[in-house]
Amino acid sequence: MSEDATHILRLQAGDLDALGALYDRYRLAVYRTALAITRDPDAAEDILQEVFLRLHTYATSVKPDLPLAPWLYRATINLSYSWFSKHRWLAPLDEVIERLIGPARQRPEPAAEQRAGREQVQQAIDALPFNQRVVVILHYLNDLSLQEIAEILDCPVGTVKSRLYYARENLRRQLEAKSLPSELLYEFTQ
Amino acid sequence: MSSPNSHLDLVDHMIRYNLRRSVARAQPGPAVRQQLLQRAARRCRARFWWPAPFDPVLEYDAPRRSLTPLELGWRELALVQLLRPAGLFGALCQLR
Repeated sequence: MSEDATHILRLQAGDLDALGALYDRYRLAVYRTALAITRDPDAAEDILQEVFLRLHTYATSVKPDLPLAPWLYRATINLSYSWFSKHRWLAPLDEVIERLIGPARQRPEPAAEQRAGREQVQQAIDALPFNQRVVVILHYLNDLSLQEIAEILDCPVGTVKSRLYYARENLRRQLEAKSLPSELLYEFTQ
Repeated sequence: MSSPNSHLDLVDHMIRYNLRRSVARAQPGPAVRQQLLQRAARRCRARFWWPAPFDPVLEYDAPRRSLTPLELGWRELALVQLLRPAGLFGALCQLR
Protein backbone atom coordinates (compact mmCIF):
# COMPACT_ATOMS: atom_id res chain seq x y z
CA MET A 1 0.00 0.00 0.00
CA SER A 2 1.36 3.43 -0.95
CA GLU A 3 2.19 6.11 1.62
CA ASP A 4 -0.65 8.28 0.28
CA ALA A 5 -3.14 5.43 0.68
CA THR A 6 -2.10 4.98 4.30
CA HIS A 7 -2.56 8.70 4.96
CA ILE A 8 -5.96 8.73 3.26
CA LEU A 9 -7.16 5.77 5.32
CA ARG A 10 -5.95 7.52 8.48
CA LEU A 11 -7.67 10.72 7.37
CA GLN A 12 -10.89 8.81 6.77
CA ALA A 13 -10.62 7.59 10.35
CA GLY A 14 -10.40 11.22 11.50
CA ASP A 15 -6.64 11.52 12.02
CA LEU A 16 -5.66 15.17 11.42
CA ASP A 17 -1.94 14.33 11.45
CA ALA A 18 -2.54 12.49 8.18
CA LEU A 19 -3.98 15.71 6.74
CA GLY A 20 -0.81 17.52 7.85
CA ALA A 21 1.36 14.85 6.24
CA LEU A 22 -0.53 15.05 2.93
CA TYR A 23 -0.34 18.85 3.09
CA ASP A 24 3.45 18.71 3.55
CA ARG A 25 3.75 16.35 0.63
CA TYR A 26 1.61 18.21 -1.90
CA ARG A 27 1.55 21.84 -0.72
CA LEU A 28 4.13 23.10 -3.23
CA ALA A 29 2.50 21.46 -6.23
CA VAL A 30 -0.93 22.78 -5.29
CA TYR A 31 0.29 26.24 -4.27
CA ARG A 32 2.43 26.76 -7.37
CA THR A 33 -0.33 25.58 -9.69
CA ALA A 34 -2.81 27.96 -8.04
CA LEU A 35 -0.25 30.77 -8.17
CA ALA A 36 0.49 30.17 -11.85
CA ILE A 37 -3.23 30.36 -12.62
CA THR A 38 -4.24 33.27 -10.40
CA ARG A 39 -0.93 35.23 -10.26
CA ASP A 40 -1.97 36.26 -6.77
CA PRO A 41 -0.02 34.84 -3.79
CA ASP A 42 -2.84 35.53 -1.30
CA ALA A 43 -5.40 33.85 -3.53
CA ALA A 44 -3.03 30.91 -4.03
CA GLU A 45 -2.71 30.49 -0.23
CA ASP A 46 -6.49 30.61 0.17
CA ILE A 47 -6.93 28.04 -2.58
CA LEU A 48 -4.25 25.81 -1.06
CA GLN A 49 -6.00 25.85 2.30
CA GLU A 50 -9.41 25.26 0.74
CA VAL A 51 -8.15 22.31 -1.33
CA PHE A 52 -6.93 20.48 1.76
CA LEU A 53 -10.02 21.44 3.70
CA ARG A 54 -12.07 19.83 0.95
CA LEU A 55 -9.85 16.78 1.13
CA HIS A 56 -10.64 16.60 4.83
CA THR A 57 -14.38 17.10 4.28
CA TYR A 58 -14.70 14.59 1.46
CA ALA A 59 -12.00 12.16 2.63
CA THR A 60 -14.49 9.29 2.69
CA SER A 61 -15.17 9.70 -1.04
CA VAL A 62 -11.47 9.65 -1.98
CA LYS A 63 -10.35 6.21 -3.14
CA PRO A 64 -7.09 5.22 -1.41
CA ASP A 65 -6.06 2.90 -4.26
CA LEU A 66 -6.02 5.78 -6.78
CA PRO A 67 -3.27 8.43 -6.96
CA LEU A 68 -4.16 11.53 -4.96
CA ALA A 69 -2.43 14.14 -7.14
CA PRO A 70 -5.15 14.25 -9.87
CA TRP A 71 -7.84 14.77 -7.18
CA LEU A 72 -5.83 17.66 -5.72
CA TYR A 73 -5.16 19.22 -9.13
CA ARG A 74 -8.86 18.99 -10.01
CA ALA A 75 -9.85 20.73 -6.76
CA THR A 76 -7.15 23.37 -7.34
CA ILE A 77 -8.41 24.11 -10.83
CA ASN A 78 -12.06 24.26 -9.75
CA LEU A 79 -11.25 26.67 -6.93
CA SER A 80 -8.96 28.73 -9.17
CA TYR A 81 -11.76 28.95 -11.71
CA SER A 82 -14.15 30.24 -9.02
CA TRP A 83 -11.57 32.82 -7.97
CA PHE A 84 -10.83 33.72 -11.57
CA SER A 85 -14.48 34.30 -12.48
CA LYS A 86 -14.92 36.56 -9.44
CA HIS A 87 -11.81 38.63 -10.17
CA ARG A 88 -11.89 38.75 -13.94
CA TRP A 89 -13.05 42.36 -13.98
CA LEU A 90 -9.91 43.47 -12.12
CA ALA A 91 -7.55 42.57 -14.99
CA PRO A 92 -8.79 45.23 -17.45
CA LEU A 93 -8.44 47.79 -14.65
CA ASP A 94 -4.76 46.84 -14.24
CA GLU A 95 -4.29 47.23 -17.99
CA VAL A 96 -5.80 50.73 -17.91
CA ILE A 97 -3.50 51.76 -15.05
CA GLU A 98 -0.52 50.29 -16.88
CA ARG A 99 -1.47 52.23 -20.05
CA LEU A 100 -1.81 55.47 -18.06
CA ILE A 101 1.52 55.28 -16.26
CA GLY A 102 3.39 53.40 -19.02
CA PRO A 103 4.41 56.40 -21.17
CA ALA A 104 5.79 58.22 -18.13
CA ARG A 105 8.44 55.54 -17.72
CA GLN A 106 11.91 56.09 -19.12
CA ARG A 107 13.53 53.81 -21.67
CA PRO A 108 14.60 50.66 -19.81
CA GLU A 109 18.21 49.52 -19.39
CA PRO A 110 19.24 46.23 -21.08
CA ALA A 111 18.70 44.22 -17.86
CA ALA A 112 15.34 45.88 -17.36
CA GLU A 113 14.59 45.15 -21.01
CA GLN A 114 15.16 41.45 -20.42
CA ARG A 115 12.88 41.62 -17.41
CA ALA A 116 10.30 43.43 -19.51
CA GLY A 117 10.62 40.69 -22.13
CA ARG A 118 9.94 38.01 -19.53
CA GLU A 119 6.98 40.02 -18.36
CA GLN A 120 5.73 40.06 -21.94
CA VAL A 121 5.86 36.26 -22.02
CA GLN A 122 4.04 36.15 -18.69
CA GLN A 123 1.42 38.62 -19.90
CA ALA A 124 0.91 36.53 -23.01
CA ILE A 125 0.28 33.45 -20.83
CA ASP A 126 -2.05 35.45 -18.56
CA ALA A 127 -3.98 36.65 -21.60
CA LEU A 128 -4.87 33.08 -22.63
CA PRO A 129 -8.46 31.95 -22.08
CA PHE A 130 -8.82 30.07 -18.76
CA ASN A 131 -9.19 26.62 -20.39
CA GLN A 132 -6.04 27.03 -22.45
CA ARG A 133 -4.07 28.53 -19.57
CA VAL A 134 -4.91 25.59 -17.31
CA VAL A 135 -3.75 23.07 -19.91
CA VAL A 136 -0.54 25.03 -20.49
CA ILE A 137 0.19 25.20 -16.75
CA LEU A 138 -0.51 21.52 -16.13
CA HIS A 139 1.59 20.49 -19.13
CA TYR A 140 4.57 22.83 -18.89
CA LEU A 141 4.74 23.55 -15.17
CA ASN A 142 3.66 20.21 -13.72
CA ASP A 143 4.96 18.03 -16.57
CA LEU A 144 1.69 16.13 -16.87
CA SER A 145 0.94 14.12 -19.98
CA LEU A 146 -2.09 14.86 -22.16
CA GLN A 147 -3.76 11.70 -20.84
CA GLU A 148 -3.24 12.78 -17.22
CA ILE A 149 -4.58 16.28 -17.97
CA ALA A 150 -7.62 14.77 -19.69
CA GLU A 151 -8.35 12.70 -16.58
CA ILE A 152 -7.99 15.74 -14.32
CA LEU A 153 -10.21 17.93 -16.48
CA ASP A 154 -12.58 15.05 -17.19
CA CYS A 155 -12.53 15.61 -20.94
CA PRO A 156 -11.26 13.68 -24.01
CA VAL A 157 -7.53 13.70 -24.80
CA GLY A 158 -8.34 15.29 -28.17
CA THR A 159 -9.82 18.31 -26.39
CA VAL A 160 -6.68 18.73 -24.30
CA LYS A 161 -4.54 18.38 -27.41
CA SER A 162 -6.49 21.04 -29.30
CA ARG A 163 -6.47 23.44 -26.30
CA LEU A 164 -2.70 23.05 -26.05
CA TYR A 165 -2.30 23.58 -29.78
CA TYR A 166 -4.40 26.77 -29.79
CA ALA A 167 -2.65 28.03 -26.65
CA ARG A 168 0.75 27.62 -28.29
CA GLU A 169 -0.46 29.28 -31.46
CA ASN A 170 -1.96 32.13 -29.43
CA LEU A 171 1.29 32.60 -27.54
CA ARG A 172 3.38 32.45 -30.68
CA ARG A 173 1.22 35.10 -32.35
CA GLN A 174 1.24 37.37 -29.31
CA LEU A 175 4.99 37.06 -28.82
CA GLU A 176 5.62 37.75 -32.48
CA ALA A 177 3.35 40.80 -32.34
CA LYS A 178 5.22 42.11 -29.33
CA SER A 179 8.56 41.26 -31.00
CA LEU A 180 10.62 40.12 -28.04
CA PRO A 181 14.06 41.69 -27.61
CA SER A 182 16.85 39.66 -29.15
CA GLU A 183 18.66 39.39 -25.75
CA LEU A 184 15.67 37.56 -24.35
CA LEU A 185 15.42 35.15 -27.25
CA TYR A 186 19.12 34.45 -26.78
CA GLU A 187 18.57 33.89 -23.05
CA PHE A 188 15.83 31.35 -23.73
CA THR A 189 18.02 29.36 -26.07
CA GLN A 190 20.75 28.97 -23.43
CA MET B 1 18.78 25.98 -42.00
CA SER B 2 16.21 26.08 -39.21
CA SER B 3 13.38 23.56 -39.26
CA PRO B 4 9.78 24.79 -39.61
CA ASN B 5 9.15 23.63 -36.02
CA SER B 6 12.12 25.44 -34.53
CA HIS B 7 10.03 28.50 -33.74
CA LEU B 8 7.41 26.38 -31.99
CA ASP B 9 10.20 24.64 -30.06
CA LEU B 10 11.37 28.05 -28.95
CA VAL B 11 7.84 28.99 -27.90
CA ASP B 12 7.65 25.71 -25.94
CA HIS B 13 10.93 26.50 -24.27
CA MET B 14 9.88 30.05 -23.44
CA ILE B 15 6.60 28.94 -21.88
CA ARG B 16 8.25 26.23 -19.78
CA TYR B 17 11.14 28.47 -18.72
CA ASN B 18 8.90 31.38 -17.84
CA LEU B 19 6.26 29.42 -15.95
CA ARG B 20 8.83 27.59 -13.86
CA ARG B 21 10.82 30.71 -13.22
CA SER B 22 7.75 32.64 -12.11
CA VAL B 23 6.89 30.18 -9.32
CA ALA B 24 10.28 28.59 -8.66
CA ARG B 25 10.86 30.10 -5.24
CA ALA B 26 7.23 30.65 -4.31
CA GLN B 27 5.93 28.82 -1.29
CA PRO B 28 3.03 29.28 1.09
CA GLY B 29 3.54 30.91 4.46
CA PRO B 30 3.90 28.70 7.54
CA ALA B 31 0.64 30.05 8.96
CA VAL B 32 -1.37 28.30 6.22
CA ARG B 33 -0.67 24.83 7.61
CA GLN B 34 -1.58 25.88 11.13
CA GLN B 35 -4.81 27.58 10.00
CA LEU B 36 -5.73 24.55 7.92
CA LEU B 37 -5.35 22.13 10.83
CA GLN B 38 -7.25 24.48 13.15
CA ARG B 39 -10.13 24.81 10.70
CA ALA B 40 -10.20 21.06 10.13
CA ALA B 41 -10.28 20.46 13.90
CA ARG B 42 -13.14 22.96 14.28
CA ARG B 43 -15.07 21.12 11.60
CA CYS B 44 -14.53 17.81 13.37
CA ARG B 45 -15.93 19.33 16.58
CA ALA B 46 -18.87 20.90 14.72
CA ARG B 47 -19.70 17.58 13.12
CA PHE B 48 -19.63 15.88 16.48
CA TRP B 49 -22.29 18.21 17.87
CA TRP B 50 -24.50 18.47 14.76
CA PRO B 51 -26.09 15.38 13.27
CA ALA B 52 -25.50 15.02 9.52
CA PRO B 53 -28.85 16.44 8.24
CA PHE B 54 -28.20 19.66 10.15
CA ASP B 55 -24.47 19.79 9.62
CA PRO B 56 -23.72 23.49 9.06
CA VAL B 57 -20.21 22.72 7.82
CA LEU B 58 -21.25 20.16 5.25
CA GLU B 59 -24.20 22.25 4.24
CA TYR B 60 -21.89 25.17 3.61
CA ASP B 61 -19.26 23.15 1.78
CA ALA B 62 -21.25 20.64 -0.18
CA PRO B 63 -21.17 21.30 -3.92
CA ARG B 64 -24.63 22.46 -4.88
CA ARG B 65 -26.19 21.87 -8.22
CA SER B 66 -27.30 25.25 -9.43
CA LEU B 67 -30.97 25.57 -10.30
CA THR B 68 -31.70 26.21 -13.94
CA PRO B 69 -33.40 29.60 -14.12
CA LEU B 70 -36.81 29.56 -15.80
CA GLU B 71 -36.40 33.17 -16.89
CA LEU B 72 -40.10 33.94 -16.70
CA GLY B 73 -41.27 37.52 -16.98
CA TRP B 74 -44.01 38.99 -14.82
CA ARG B 75 -46.63 38.28 -17.50
CA GLU B 76 -45.77 34.59 -17.63
CA LEU B 77 -45.74 34.41 -13.84
CA ALA B 78 -49.14 36.12 -13.68
CA LEU B 79 -50.52 33.72 -16.30
CA VAL B 80 -49.18 30.68 -14.43
CA GLN B 81 -50.66 32.06 -11.24
CA LEU B 82 -54.05 32.48 -12.91
CA LEU B 83 -54.04 29.04 -14.53
CA ARG B 84 -52.99 26.97 -11.50
CA PRO B 85 -55.81 24.80 -10.07
CA ALA B 86 -56.18 26.97 -7.00
CA GLY B 87 -55.90 30.17 -9.04
CA LEU B 88 -58.59 32.32 -10.59
CA PHE B 89 -59.05 30.10 -13.65
CA GLY B 90 -59.29 26.94 -11.52
CA ALA B 91 -61.79 28.60 -9.24
CA LEU B 92 -63.94 29.70 -12.21
CA CYS B 93 -63.84 26.17 -13.68
CA GLN B 94 -65.16 24.77 -10.44
CA LEU B 95 -68.07 27.24 -10.30
CA ARG B 96 -69.92 25.85 -13.33
